[in-house]
Amino acid sequence: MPAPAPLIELDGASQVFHVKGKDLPAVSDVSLSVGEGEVLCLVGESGSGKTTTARLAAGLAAPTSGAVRFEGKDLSEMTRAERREYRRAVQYIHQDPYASLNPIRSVRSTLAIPLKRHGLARTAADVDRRVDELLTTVDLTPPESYSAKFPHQMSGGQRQRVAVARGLTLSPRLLIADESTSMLDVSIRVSLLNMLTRLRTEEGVGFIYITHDLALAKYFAWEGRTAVMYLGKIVEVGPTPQVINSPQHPYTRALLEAVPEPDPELAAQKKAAGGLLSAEIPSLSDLPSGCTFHPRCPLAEDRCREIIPVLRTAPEASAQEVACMVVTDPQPAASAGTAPGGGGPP
Amino acid sequence: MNDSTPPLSTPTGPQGLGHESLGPDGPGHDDTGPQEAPVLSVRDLEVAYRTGKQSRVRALRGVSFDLYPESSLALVGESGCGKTTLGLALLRLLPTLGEITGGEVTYTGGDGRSRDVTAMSASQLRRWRWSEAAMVFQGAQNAFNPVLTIGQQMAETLKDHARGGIGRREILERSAEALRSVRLEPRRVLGSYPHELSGGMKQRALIATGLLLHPRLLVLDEPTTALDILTQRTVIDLLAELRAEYGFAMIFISHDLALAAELADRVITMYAGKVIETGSTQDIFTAPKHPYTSKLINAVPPVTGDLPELASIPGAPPSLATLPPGCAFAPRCELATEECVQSEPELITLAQRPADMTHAAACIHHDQVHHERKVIARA
Amino acid sequence: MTGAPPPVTSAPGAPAPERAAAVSPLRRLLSELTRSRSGFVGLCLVVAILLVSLLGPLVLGSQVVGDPMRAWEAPSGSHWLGLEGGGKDILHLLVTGGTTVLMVGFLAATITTVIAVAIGSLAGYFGGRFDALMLQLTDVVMTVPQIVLLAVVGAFYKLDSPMLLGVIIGILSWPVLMRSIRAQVLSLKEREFVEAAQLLDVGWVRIVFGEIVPNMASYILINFIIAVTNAIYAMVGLYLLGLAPQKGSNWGIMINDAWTKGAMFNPDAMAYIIAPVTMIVLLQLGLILLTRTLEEILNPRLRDR
Repeated sequence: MPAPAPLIELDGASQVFHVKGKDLPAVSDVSLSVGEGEVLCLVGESGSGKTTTARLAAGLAAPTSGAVRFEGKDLSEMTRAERREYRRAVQYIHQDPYASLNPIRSVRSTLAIPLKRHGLARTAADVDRRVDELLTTVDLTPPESYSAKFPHQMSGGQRQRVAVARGLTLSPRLLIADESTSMLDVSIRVSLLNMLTRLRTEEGVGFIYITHDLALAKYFAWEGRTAVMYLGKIVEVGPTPQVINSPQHPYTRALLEAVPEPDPELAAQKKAAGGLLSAEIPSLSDLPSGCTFHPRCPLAEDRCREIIPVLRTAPEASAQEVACMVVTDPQPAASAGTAPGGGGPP
Repeated sequence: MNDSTPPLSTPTGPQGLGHESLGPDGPGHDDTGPQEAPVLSVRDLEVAYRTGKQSRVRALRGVSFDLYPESSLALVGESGCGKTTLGLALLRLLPTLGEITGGEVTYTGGDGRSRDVTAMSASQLRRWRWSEAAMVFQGAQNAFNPVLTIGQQMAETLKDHARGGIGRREILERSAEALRSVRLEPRRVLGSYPHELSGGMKQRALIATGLLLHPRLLVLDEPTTALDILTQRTVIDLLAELRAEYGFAMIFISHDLALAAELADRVITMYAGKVIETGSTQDIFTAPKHPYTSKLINAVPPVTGDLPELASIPGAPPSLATLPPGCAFAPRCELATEECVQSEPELITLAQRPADMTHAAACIHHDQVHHERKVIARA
Repeated sequence: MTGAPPPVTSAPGAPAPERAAAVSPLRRLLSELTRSRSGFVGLCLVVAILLVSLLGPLVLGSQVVGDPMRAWEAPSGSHWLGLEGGGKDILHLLVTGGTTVLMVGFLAATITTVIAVAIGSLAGYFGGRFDALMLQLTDVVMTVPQIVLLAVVGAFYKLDSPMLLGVIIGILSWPVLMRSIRAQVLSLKEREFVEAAQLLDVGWVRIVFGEIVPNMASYILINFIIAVTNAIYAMVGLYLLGLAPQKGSNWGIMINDAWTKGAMFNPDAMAYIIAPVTMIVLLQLGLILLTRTLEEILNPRLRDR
């Protein structure tokens, strides 16, 4: 028998939005996969396409080209029953706990609706028992003191936990968690991450985690993989420890440089603006030619303006794939005007 | 927990003026001769919020500190611990339900004149704000009026607060200069509406507005929250440069301790409306002596080096209306004993430093706080 | 306690919330209702008119018998508002004449609101061809002149039931509300909690009527009341113009009768025209003021303040 297909697989998936007569390629040709109990972190700035990619995986949008597969089955070719099974297996947790809960529903009612709809709890007592279990799983204890509350009576962290509990009502096998901004207190964020990690290690739930902060990616996906996205493309992907400790793509390095360190000595060593030439991300409607990163890249060479780089194994880090010619295909030092040698981590 | 091995960097004496030597553990700040008067001197500041017809809650309880010119102070703590209230109270910008119920805030201007901010009249405040002390609010997304251009809003601030009137040309020059100082192109930004700028540009324009009249004090509330990591980095770098260039004193409020490590000379940890630890950034990050500060630091993931275990602080900050007896942190603290519940601990000086960099913590068990991170994977 | 620094301790603040919770639910309701003073006045007016119109006929009898010999008698101790052209007691007519007005108003408003909410929310949620079709339907309905249509319908059929009148008014007046409901759904359906419900596969009926529509509850209720006032005006207007059958008795018929019989030129009969007009004005004023209280109670953010 062949190896089981991964839970979710994106195969050359692209998503083009049409806004005011312009084409915005939010995601172009992204391939990735996540299996049971695995974790994949998508990292990048806003506008990098990480959220759109996650929405493709969650079936919240259909790719313009390419395929999204669940256990090997293309989402667009699913029967009603298969679609239903997929819907139960893959859940998405929104980043803003203030918008993702219906203000008119109590916690119990929020959790009860999917339970009843999918026949997971039939009697009122069943519902109560399941709601209590779910609230306990997300550390909202004692559950009795939360089940009657409304969103506006809870803090941001508590709301986020309710949102996670709702995502867990159908016992999903893959959770997609979007935390693109860091609006929650650090301590709350950490306890949420620890809770999600527990779900992964104890119940084998797979994760796609979206963040802009590589320090969080390092913590949450240390045993998994990290994909760095830039303007709709994956520019570096590999096992998290390798990506963090020996970043290959200049963009990954810039993101690493930018993370504030909780240590004054390390903080003093950080490079200004992460070593980038420009702080502003180009617009999707007016993408730079060649490698889209070249206007901001400290290593850019002439050829970067013309040739679009593809993901290749990095010569000095075999576990990673990098979309950067300067790193994967260094030119002889004589002709490379800017970066000598090209690519070795500092 | 109560192992007896002596830790590396605890004051050996019971408490009090244990370590006065600056040598080994004070490399962050070289002493620069005699000090000027502090820009801001806060004494026993009390703020209460009305919660009903008769009831009030104490949001700040006896806050005292000095802020010296050109220094940078970080106020850290979880949400609801009073750090934003303190920032607002310093500039008398409290919402209508809030009220300063005691204490003094003394501001000393460049001319050497001292004034009590809590006693200023509305017109005095108007002149004082922006020209002497400015605030950059949280959420750059909403701080600008959406129907006015950035230029118009900067002009309004200048007209309202500049001393003795200001001409059109000067308004334009000053706005352009302020925008250039935050690395924005004046020609492009002045005529733009807020929605035409990116989040990072708006945040920088907001800082520029704060700097229009070259204040001596800048208070920033969560200046980088909700910004992308690269934009965050730009703003952090920018603030450090601007402080060197303009020489203002800076107070910034943040729940992210990494930001404090990046930008502050000095850190104040707040909990339940009180200062519970204060010290130089170096002291606070290498050897925090309040268990709360230690736990806050340990909740921030580092990106360089080993992978430590991150632990959240159990429970939530207490409601200001129902503070627990004794130390407000005791219910969440693993070091808490009978004694902690009996009376609220005062700040205990652990190391004397000049310019109000003294390291002090309000914890009777400060000698049991061994700050370390448990490593789960080596780099 | 303005100047003194330490009078505020945490202790006195603590019991306050408990005390608030211990207040009886009736008290709480009362304090909710009196939150807006003008709203409370409105509520009292509406309740008073409802009580008079619903209970009055039971006490005084629903049939008003008149003595034509005593036509246009001036107000007196036994007939406070005097007698009309058929010798009937004006006060009695006033009491019995409210029932129809209120029933037609509420019936028409119910029909309008139900149609508007159902079509508006579905059109907004699904969009596409259904939405376009419904928008065209509203265009058509909005261009139909109510009064002319009623005149035409009245010419062919016997519009002898005020309820039928209510149904027609209701069927003709939903498009405005439908459009604003549709606009709100367009923005609500983009909210993340709607997407979360879609992810949980709870079905469109639940999403539209369980997640989205309840978020507009206060808006719908307030518009329902406004629809009541509009329906009452439409109905009274039709009676006044004589386009509705002058059968039975209600405030509209009273005004028409007073108008056609020239009551306004007879000082003794002034009450016959002023009394029903006053009742209608008070009812409408009460309903409009009531919406203020509803806004305060139904908006959770205002409520918790």
